[in-house]
Amino acid sequence: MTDFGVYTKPIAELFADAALPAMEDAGIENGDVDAFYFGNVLGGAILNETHLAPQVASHIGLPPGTSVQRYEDACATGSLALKHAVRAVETGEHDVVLVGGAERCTPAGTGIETSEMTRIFGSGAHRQYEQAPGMTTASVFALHTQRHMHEYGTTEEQLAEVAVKNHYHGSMNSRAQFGEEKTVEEVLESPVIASPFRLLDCCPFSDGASAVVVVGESAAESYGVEPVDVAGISHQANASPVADQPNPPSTEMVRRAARDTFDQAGFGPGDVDVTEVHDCFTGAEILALEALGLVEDGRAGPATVQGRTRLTGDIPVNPSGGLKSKGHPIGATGTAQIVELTEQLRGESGERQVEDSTRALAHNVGGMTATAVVTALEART
Amino acid sequence: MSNRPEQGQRAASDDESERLTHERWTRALEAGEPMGLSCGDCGYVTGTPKAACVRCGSRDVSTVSLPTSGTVYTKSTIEIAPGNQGRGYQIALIDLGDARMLGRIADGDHVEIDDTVELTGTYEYDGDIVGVFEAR
Repeated sequence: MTDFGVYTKPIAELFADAALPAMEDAGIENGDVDAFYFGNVLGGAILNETHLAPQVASHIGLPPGTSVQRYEDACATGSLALKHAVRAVETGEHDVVLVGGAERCTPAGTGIETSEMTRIFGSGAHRQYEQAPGMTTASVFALHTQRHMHEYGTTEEQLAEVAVKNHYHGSMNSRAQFGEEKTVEEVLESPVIASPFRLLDCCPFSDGASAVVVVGESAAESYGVEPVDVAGISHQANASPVADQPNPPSTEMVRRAARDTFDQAGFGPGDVDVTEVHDCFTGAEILALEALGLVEDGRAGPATVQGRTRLTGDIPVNPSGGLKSKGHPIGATGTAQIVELTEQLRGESGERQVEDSTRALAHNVGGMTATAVVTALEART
Repeated sequence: MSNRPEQGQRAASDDESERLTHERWTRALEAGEPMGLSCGDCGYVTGTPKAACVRCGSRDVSTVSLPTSGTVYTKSTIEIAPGNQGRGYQIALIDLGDARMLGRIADGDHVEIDDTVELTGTYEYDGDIVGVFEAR
């Protein structure tokens, strides 16, 4: 994967910076790739570029005959592409699938001002019944989080601790867009975006790319590298608009996806050593910890303050710095989580290594809490 | 799908003039008489138009009148928004009887969770109409 930040280069060049090293890392030649699943969300709205898969495939030298396709499922795009790659090799349709994503959506890199970019990001909301009253991406998570605060007493200070923790982790990640540490006071003094979220409760606009290679279980050893198993992956949807979702802040689709993934993997939340969650906003990490079963409902705020989700805690969450610190180039986020967790399971994460990790979990949410993909990874012993 | 009245009573959704479309929902809201859909199979009530029940998939859904006053389930005040939406406005998920609807809170008003609110008008954004609510 690339460093996350601000880029002005073409999408295909940006993706090549992630894809070519990923193929080298996997011991895969271009001619080995049977299929290429590419995630990109806003190319049409921002860059006037759709149908990107053939263009990107051509740029990175995938020969004609490779099955190429673009995926879009809002912020869960990369994980959705991964799910299809896993299913394709499981069923034997393909032997080797390159999967990843790239996005250019920073105001700095595109020249689009923040309020217009906020409008474009809001396109994942229902036009008639969510965009019209003025709901934004931040405010849907804000609606869930306000209710969580009402029901469980979660506080703005607890939310701020999520940001502080993830910036601390990001300070050890050279790929992070905002890798400097923050304090609770700095978070609480930053301007309101959508209450209860302040600027420093929100992930940034980011550019970047990520890629992974998926191969069949039995072939994995033959490439001469250290493979990591996808032990389970589940993609679940929720109703749209959010008014029809059952019992916010339950994020019911995450609970279904987690149950399904753990069933496939044969282990449970208590067995997970390291987790990457979709912390697009601090409140989103709180909801995720509970919906995944890592913490009981209502306790994620106190668990964060107690340090349980830090690298040194009993449930380390977002060692990469998460979307909050590392950045969130939308279509690249899902597979970027897989890159981080693969390195963690291989013991390659340096200063931010979670020691003795053998089981990992990724949580990627898309749109207005309407899509979730949960993935379980396991080291080979 | 053809209408076959000789087969007896049809579900309301089979008759296009009875179906709750976005246009019909909008006109009703503008008249201050909000409408939703009730499912004849699972009983779920939605506050916005659908072609079938969002919970169970049944096509046995019928249009129902929703009350004009309700309770705030959750809310957010938005400071960073698309240019034409302004800033410093509040949105809220509002329980109107058995249905839940996302509404806009009237400019200058401020609501909290569990407050009682009333539909007092409509707001237009980019050609679409939504309900505006005020604390009572």
